[in-house]
Order: sequence, then structure tokens, then C-alpha cells
Amino acid sequence: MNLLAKIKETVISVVPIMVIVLILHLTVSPLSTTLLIEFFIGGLLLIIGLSIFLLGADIGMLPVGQHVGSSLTKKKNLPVMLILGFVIGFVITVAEPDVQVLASQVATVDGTIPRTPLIMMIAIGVGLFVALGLARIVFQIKLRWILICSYLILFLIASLTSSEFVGIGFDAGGATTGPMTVPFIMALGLGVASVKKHENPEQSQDDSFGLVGIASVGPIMAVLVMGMIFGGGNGDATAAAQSAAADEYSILQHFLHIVPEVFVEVAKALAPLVVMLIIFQLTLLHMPKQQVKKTILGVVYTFIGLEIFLTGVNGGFMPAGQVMGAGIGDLGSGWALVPIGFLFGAVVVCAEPAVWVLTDQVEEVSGGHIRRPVMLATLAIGVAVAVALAMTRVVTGLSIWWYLIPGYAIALAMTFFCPPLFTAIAFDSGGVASGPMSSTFILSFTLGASMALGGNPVLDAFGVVAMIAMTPLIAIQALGLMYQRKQKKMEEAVKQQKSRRLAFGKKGGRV
Amino acid sequence: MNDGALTVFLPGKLLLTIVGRHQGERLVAAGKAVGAGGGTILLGRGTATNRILQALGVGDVSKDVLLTLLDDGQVDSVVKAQLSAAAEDPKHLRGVAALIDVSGILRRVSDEGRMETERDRRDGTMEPKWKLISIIVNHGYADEAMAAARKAGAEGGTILTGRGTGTEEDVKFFGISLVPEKEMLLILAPVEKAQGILDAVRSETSLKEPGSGIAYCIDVQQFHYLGK
Repeated sequence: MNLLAKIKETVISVVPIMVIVLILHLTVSPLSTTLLIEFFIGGLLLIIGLSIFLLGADIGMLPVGQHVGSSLTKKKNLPVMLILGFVIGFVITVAEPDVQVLASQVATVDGTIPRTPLIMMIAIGVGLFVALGLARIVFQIKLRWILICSYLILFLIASLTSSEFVGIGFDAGGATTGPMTVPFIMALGLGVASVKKHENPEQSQDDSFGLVGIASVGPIMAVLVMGMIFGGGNGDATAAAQSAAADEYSILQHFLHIVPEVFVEVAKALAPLVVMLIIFQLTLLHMPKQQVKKTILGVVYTFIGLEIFLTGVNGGFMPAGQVMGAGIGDLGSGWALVPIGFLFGAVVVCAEPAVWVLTDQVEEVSGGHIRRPVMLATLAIGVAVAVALAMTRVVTGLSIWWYLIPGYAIALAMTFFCPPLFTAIAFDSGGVASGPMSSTFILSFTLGASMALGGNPVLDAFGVVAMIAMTPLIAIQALGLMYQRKQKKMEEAVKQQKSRRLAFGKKGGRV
Repeated sequence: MNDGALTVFLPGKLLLTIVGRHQGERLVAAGKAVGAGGGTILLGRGTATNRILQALGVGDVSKDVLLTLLDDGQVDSVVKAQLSAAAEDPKHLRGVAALIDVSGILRRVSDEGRMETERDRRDGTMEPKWKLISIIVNHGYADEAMAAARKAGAEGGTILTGRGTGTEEDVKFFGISLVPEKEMLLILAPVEKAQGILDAVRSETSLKEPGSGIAYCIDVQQFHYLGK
């Protein structure tokens, strides 16, 4: 049963976080009993919600997204394809719950920035970059050049913006590509790539990924541009950060209180997507009935799963994260945060819904060549380093530039050596790794720590999501280089057997 | 090329084994231990057999489809090796195995000795009890075909995805050629049900249009359940 297998997998990915929190609770940073119980109920909801969500993504979101992608391409009408790409990116971003959260965060830094225009800007940003990403596949432009140009422009704009905005802006890139948008945008790219004939077998998989990576640039640029235009005013950051701490309720009430909020959020996120899908089905897709049935079921599962998941995260993980961060920040000079952040980073990424979707698709597209456990381990190392680095910022208050510039410079330089497939996966996983888990649990942990150390949470704590979005670019590309080396060795070994192979002719020998 | 070796067609068998995702390698290892050359693993999707799960849309399972080419002499030992590997771990290695006759496998043999192309095809005359039905349709329609086949008594099927090459010229779109996406549905069925299944699939409304797909049947000489 796939569902049982999914539950088993999610248990494996969520339990380590709970174990670490329990150990910290028993040793250095005790939580109140209520908080601990809430945390464990949250963990349970996380497991159930994640399993159901993944199932829904599997049978609904991903197939339909691919279908939209391939149907768009088969229309052979570039303007229509790009306009619809823009509309898709715009619609799913406006609806994404994370964007709403982000808009509130920005308001805390600078009260003068109007909320609605900001959300519109972000959505336009995603829309434009989705269209750009689709155009890239059609015109066969190397992902590398798109990324290098985008990030150069990005850093240029960033250098003109106040440093408060840099952290939040880069956080935005990761945060806006949430659990709803990622599977759909990813599937869209896969769909376009699947109908494309590949003359060169070496390139056959390169187009399948990279769309999420390109789309992640949009929101960063949008926030930075807004910051450049409106920047200057001051908001009350600590007040906003503190308001994240939940009101006092009994445990049951506590979760029940969250359910309707989350319900509205998820419903808001899903509704435009559903409307769009219905329009697509009637005009473009014309899917047969079994497929329609599966898609409907899939969307329903996605909805239920995300609802349960977010209830668990908001109700159990966020408050616990903040208290825990404060507790550990209070220890001595706060350097204990670095190793603990490392640990949290390693385990938290495995509980991100979109990470599972991505690793699954990578395994599928590579024909089982790039295994999920390998991808997960690499991402875990990457994110662990990211959170540890973010903690050094919390302790020292170093500018985020010291991290972002070398990080992106290395990541972009690596695109020249790394196999293109891995570059594409790497930039996708940047947006994927920074999902609801990192923007709730890790961010509140960091905020808690920063406040305990008496730093400026806006400057020091924000940026942790940006870091989580950055390190996978390096980690996955490093994995790609390792694969490349291994591949070369294998090819040499195969050469010796080649005489036997030749008998099959060039293409007949596959079976 | 001409190093004293010859390219010939040798009769043999194709062993098709379908097990859960990531389990294919273990069967390859089991086969290799008794002399099989290796195999090719395709990634497939098994359709649900349980009606309730089907209705809920949660029953589909990821599968490995393992293809192994064997000389006649290797067949018994390799089949036995795969079966006993599965029997040892029935929980993970549950699946099916089907043996198909192959009239010629392209092989390179050296001049001296190994020229026994004329073999005693002892099981060639056996009446097959199972058929492998392969149905290739446009992407998204394999589930329709499966639903129809199920009504005609098929137990389950495995779906592979692929690209069609098409007969017409590939359609160009800004320098990239577009190719149709296809799905291939494999159904193993007892001989007496095979015709009914094919008829059911053919008369499925969404597959009636000309050009919606092709289907063919292959005799299966041996059929085994793995891990049962």
C-alpha cells in the first residue's frame, strides 16, 4: 500500500525532530509540560498531514500540472504559453498562505509599505519568472545563464536597498514557493520537458527541473524593489515577533482554535488553483474520466493533508521552537546555538512536504539513478550548515552580505562544472527546502534565540530562510560533481565490455 | 570489429519480473548468482487491486519492471533463483514473473566451439496458459484501459510511461521537436480471459477513436507469483 509506505517514510522523517526536542527538553532547555504535549500532538498531526498531502500531490497535483505543461506546449503558440505561464504563476502565488505571512513580516520592518501592492508585486514577480522559465525550455537557453543574469540583477538591486530588506527579501524567495506552488510549478516544467524530443541524450533530463529555481527569483526581486521604492520607515519588529507567541488556551482548544484559521488559509490558497484547473480542463486538457476522478481526489487529499499539517506546525512546532530558541540563547554566550542549529537543520528539511515531492520526481525522471535517500542526505547536510551559519549571525550580528555573496558566488560558479541536471535540481531544491517547516519552526527558533541574546531580530534572525534556500544549491551541485566522477569511472569500466555491446548496434541493446 | 567473433541470433527467453520499487536490484543479484547476465529495470506504476482503495485513488504502487534475457539453458536456474529469493522475503519481493519465448537474441560469439545455435526447444510446443497483453495509448488513457480491462476480469496491470516516435514528421516548435507522450499498460491474464480483456479495452469509449493506441498479445510460457 502506498499510503502505508508514505506514513512509514514520514514517521522516519518527523521522529528525529521530536527526539532532539525531547533530549533538549530533558537537558538544557526545559519546556513547560503543556508546550511539550502540544509539541508532540503537533508532531503526530505533522505525520498524518504530510502523508495525506503527499498522496494527494502524487495522484492529483503532479499529474495535472504535467498535463497542463505538456498541453500548453502542444498548442505550439508561444504567446499563449507564456501568458498562461504568467497567469499560473500569478494566481498560485497570490493564493499561497506563505505570501500573506511574508507581507505581515515586511510590514513589521517598514510600516509604510502597502500590503496589497506588495503581494501583487510578488505574484507578478513569480508569474514573470515562470514565463521566463518556460521560454527557456522552448528556446533551449542554458539554465546557468538565466540564473547568473537573474542573480546579478538581484544583487545589484539588493545593494541599493536597506539591509533590513535584504534578509527579508531573500527569505521571501524561499518562503513564497510553498507546498502548494512547488509541486504545481515543478510538474509544469516536467510536462513541458516531457513532450520535447531530445536530440542529445546527454541533455534529455536537463529541462525537467529548474522552473522552481527560476520562479524563486521573482519574489526576492519584488520585495527588494518595493524596499528600494518605499524603504526608510520603521516598524515595530519585536512586537510583531512576540505576537507570534500563541494565546493561552487548553491543549485541545489550542489546536481547535487553529483549525479554522488554517482552513481559511488553505482554502484561499487552493480555490484559485481549482478554478484555474476547471477552466483548463474545459478548454485545454479534456482529461478522460478516470484521470478527472483521480485529480479531484488528489486535490481533496492535498487540502486535507495540508490542513492537518499546518495545524500541527502552527499549533505545536512554532511555539515550541520559539521557547526552545530563547532557552538555548540564554545559555552562556549563545554559541551552543550553532551545533544545535546544525542538528535541527539536518532533521527539519526531511519533514518539508515539497522536499519529498522533489526527491520523488528526481528519482522518477532519472529512472532511479538518483536515489531519494542520497538526495535527502545531501539536502540535510546543506540545510544543517545553513542553520548553523544563520546561528553564527544571531550570535555575532554579522551582516547577511558576508554569507549571501560568497554563497551565491560559489553556487553560480559551480554551474559551469556541474552536470546541468544537477544544477537544475539544485536551484529547485533551494526553493523547496525552505518551506513551512523552516519558516515556522526554524524561524521561530531563530527569533527566540535572537531576542534572548538581545540582538535585533529583524537584522539577525531574518535571513535564516534565505540561508536554507542557498546552501542546497552548493550541496546538490557538489553531489552532481561526485556523480560525474563516478560516472566517468563506470564508463571506463564499460569500455572494456564494449566489444560485446557493439554487436547489438547502437540502439538495440537497451533491453 | 572482426576479431574472430560472429554475430548470431540465438533462441532464448525473456523473463519479465514485476516487483515493488527498489526491489528489482535484488532479483538481478539473485539471477546473477546463478549465471544470468544482468537486466534492465524500468520504472512502472502498479494499479490497485483492492476495490475500496481503487475508489479512494490510493492503491497505486510504484513498481520495478525487470527484463532479463536468458539462454534456454539458464531459464530454470534463474527462474528458480528469483522465486526462492522472493520466497525468502515475501513481504518485499511480492510480484509476478512471466517467461516469454524469444526466437532470436542478438549475441556475439567466438568462432570456436560455442556455435550451438540449433537447440532443442523442448518447451516450445507447450500450450501457454497465460498471455501478456500490452496496450500502448496516449498519456492519461492507461487508467481508462485498465478500468475497462478490470471489468473483463483482469486482476491488475502495470503502467510504464514513454514517448511515442510517431509515423508523421515530428512537429516543430521554435526549434524543438514535440513528441507525443505515451503510456504502456502491461496486463498478465489467463488465456481464456485475454480475448475478453482485449475486447473490453477496444470497446472502451475513450479508446474507440482511430489512433488512440495499439494493443498486442504475447504467449507466456511460464507464469509465477513471487512471494506467495
